[in-house]
Parts: sequence; C-alpha cells; structure tokens
Amino acid sequence: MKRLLYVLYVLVIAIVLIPKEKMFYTLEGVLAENQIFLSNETLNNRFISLEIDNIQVMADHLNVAGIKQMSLSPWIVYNRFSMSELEVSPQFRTFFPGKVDNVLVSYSILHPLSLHIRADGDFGSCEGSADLIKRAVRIVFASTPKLRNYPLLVLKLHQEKEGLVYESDF
Amino acid sequence: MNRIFNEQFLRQFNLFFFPIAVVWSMMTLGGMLLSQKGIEHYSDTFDTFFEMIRFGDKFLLTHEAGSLLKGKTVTTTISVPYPHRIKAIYRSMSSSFTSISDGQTTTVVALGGKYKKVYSLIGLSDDAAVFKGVGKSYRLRLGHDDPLSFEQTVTRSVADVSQSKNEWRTIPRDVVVQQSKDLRAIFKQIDISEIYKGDKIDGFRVNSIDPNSLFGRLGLVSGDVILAVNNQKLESYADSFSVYNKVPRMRSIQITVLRNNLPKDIVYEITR
Repeated sequence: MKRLLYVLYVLVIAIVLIPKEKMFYTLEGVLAENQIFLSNETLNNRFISLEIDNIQVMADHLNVAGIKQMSLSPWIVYNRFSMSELEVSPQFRTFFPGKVDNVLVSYSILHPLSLHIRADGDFGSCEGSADLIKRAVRIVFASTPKLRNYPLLVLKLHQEKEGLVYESDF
Repeated sequence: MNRIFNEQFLRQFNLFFFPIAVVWSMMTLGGMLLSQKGIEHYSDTFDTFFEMIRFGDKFLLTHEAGSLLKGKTVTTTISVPYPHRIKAIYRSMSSSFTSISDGQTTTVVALGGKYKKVYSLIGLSDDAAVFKGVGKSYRLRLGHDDPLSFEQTVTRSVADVSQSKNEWRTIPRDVVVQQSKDLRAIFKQIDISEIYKGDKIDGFRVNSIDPNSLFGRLGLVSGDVILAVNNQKLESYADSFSVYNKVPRMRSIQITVLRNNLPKDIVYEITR
C-alpha cells in the first residue's frame, strides 16, 4: 500500500511539472506546418491541466472557426484533450457542422494503440476511435434528423449497423 | 539542530523531495525538446503597427520575418495563353476585316485595328489572321482554337513571386457533356468550398479530389483555389452555376487557379 501511494505521489509530481504550455506550443507548430494556425488564445496553467481560452482557428489566411475553450490534461496514464463551444465560420457551414458543443479526444494506457473521440453539437453526436497503428479514423454518427442539415457531410458517410460511419486515413 | 541532521529525518526528506528533483530535471530536459514559443497568425488585413501595440513584446517574440511578409502583396504581370477562334475573314481592295471569338463574345476587327486594346490585326490571308501585341505575333487559323496571349495583372504574396507555368490540355467533348449532366457525381469526385474576402466570395477551394476522376486527370489538385473560368470571376454560386450551364457549349475551358499562392491557368481545348 505504501508503495502504491508513493507511485501515486511521483505521478502527481510528474503531472504538475509536465511542461504543458510547451506541449501546446508544439501542437501549434505541428498544425502550422499544415497551414492551420491557432491564434489569439489565452493560456491558463491549472497545475494538472492547461486551459486555453478564446482560440481562433485559421487556415490559409481564412478564419475557419472559433473555440471558446480547450483543455489539455496530460495525466500520463489517462490523457485528454477537450474543446468546448466550437463555432465554425458561416462560410464553411455548408460543409461542416456550424456548432460543436463538445469534442473530447482521450488516450488511456489501457488502450495504448488507439485514441477515443467523442463529440456532440448541432449535428447530433458521434463517437469513434483513431487507430495509431493503422493510422485510420473511424467515427460513428448517430442517425438523427439534425444530420440531414449537412448533406455534404452525409455524402462522406456510409451506413452500417451502428449508424452512419466516417472512415479516413491520416 | 540534532533533529535536523537526524538520519531518519534525512531519509524521509529524501524520500519526498528526491523524486521532485528527479522529475523536475527530467521535465526540464524533456521540455527543451518542445517548442519554446507559440505561433501567432494574422490575416491579410492585419495592421502591423496596431498589432505591435496590442501584443507588445509578445509580437516580437512570436512573429518570424516570413509571417510579417505574408500580409504583403505585390502586383506583377503574367502572360496567359487563351484560345480564340477566327470565325470569318473578309478581304477586299477597300477594306478587310475578321471576326474573332473568345468563346464568350465575338468581335469584328478591321485590318490595322486593335483587338481588346492590345493586339493589332496586321495581316489577313484566306485562312488565317495575324495579330501583333506585346512584342509578339500570333497566327490564328480560320476555324481553329489557337492561343492568343494576354497580359494579366495579378496580385500575389511577396514571398511567392516567381514565374508560374500554365498548362494546356485537351478533352473530348462527349466526356464533358456526359460529366456535366450529373452534378451529384461531380460532388462525389471533388469537394469544394467557397473562400470569402470580406463578405464576397473570392473563389472556390478544392478541399479534396479523386485523382482518378475526370477533374483529377485534368490537372486540378487538392488545395487549388479556382478563381475564374474563361476569365469570368467566380464571385457567387450563381456565377459558378452559370459557368456550369455553359460548359457543354464551350469550345475551350480556361480555369484560373491559385496554386501554392501562384496564379496558374489550366486550359482545356474541347475536341470533337
């Protein structure tokens, strides 16, 4: 029991001392290589997580979306990256859902080979995973009437038993 | 004093503070491999002076020279071949003229006169007209789609000023007609979205394209921004549908795209 508490103690120290801002800057750099820029954000280090407020997402000089809050929680054994109130710019709403309430991407050492993805918004909800070995994403959208508002998104989905499925490689 | 240097106390002290020192060292070393500063990006409309005041020191830390140049543009002139067709030639002792079409409009030009204020008609034979403009002569055959160059003024980013190459391709008419009948099939092959400059549409971006589709084979690639078709700017969906409806009747299609920030013309001659 003592050993377990000691391991937990070391883990908490590691979580607190992880350079979260630098991790976010690295994420920004990776996105910038693909011409996606996160701008105007405010960083708040909350010891065990990093909160990033009011992010403007730009791609090739265009305002693509605004995100009210992002949260980066690198808890080593369970890591999560969440976004809330993501609003897509009007010019892109034909192709993407206009408002996404929550997006959660999580990684647990219990499932070391995949990321879990969950989102909900005015398109309904979706849940899926990204396979890190096959480098493939599979997201299942709930077949709701709301989804019909995005015909060009539906065109990219195919029907399976669980619902409408989006599959892509990365 | 005795208590401070008590062996038992030191062991307890080490037990709790040693991991902090080790983890801190590891994180500091690991952190050196990560990015030390963030990236800020501004649209073309950003005012450097205003942003420097707003962000103070952060501005100087987060902007690379390239980012500063990104907002700057320069106007240059490029030459774009564009097919024209001589529809008729009339020659007599008193006057000679020809009618020339650019696919949209037909103009009658007298021998010695100017076409589109740039090209002078300097010669006419039974089967060809010779134009001269911008230090070059162009022989356009009667009934053929031959290229006539136009000087176009374009604005592009300072960092990307270099000569762009244009492409000239052919496409059978029956393929064009067949493809233009099925709009749904087209959207399956190509995914486009509009680009706004202020409130106005400034072009259509090709988000993804099936390289084996007709559009892929014709030379459009993912990331291209379609600015104009046959010199008609695409400023609304109405414009694009207007062009779409005219496609089966066109003899040539000139698609002006922005590729890697460089304007490029892809010209398709529609063959019978």
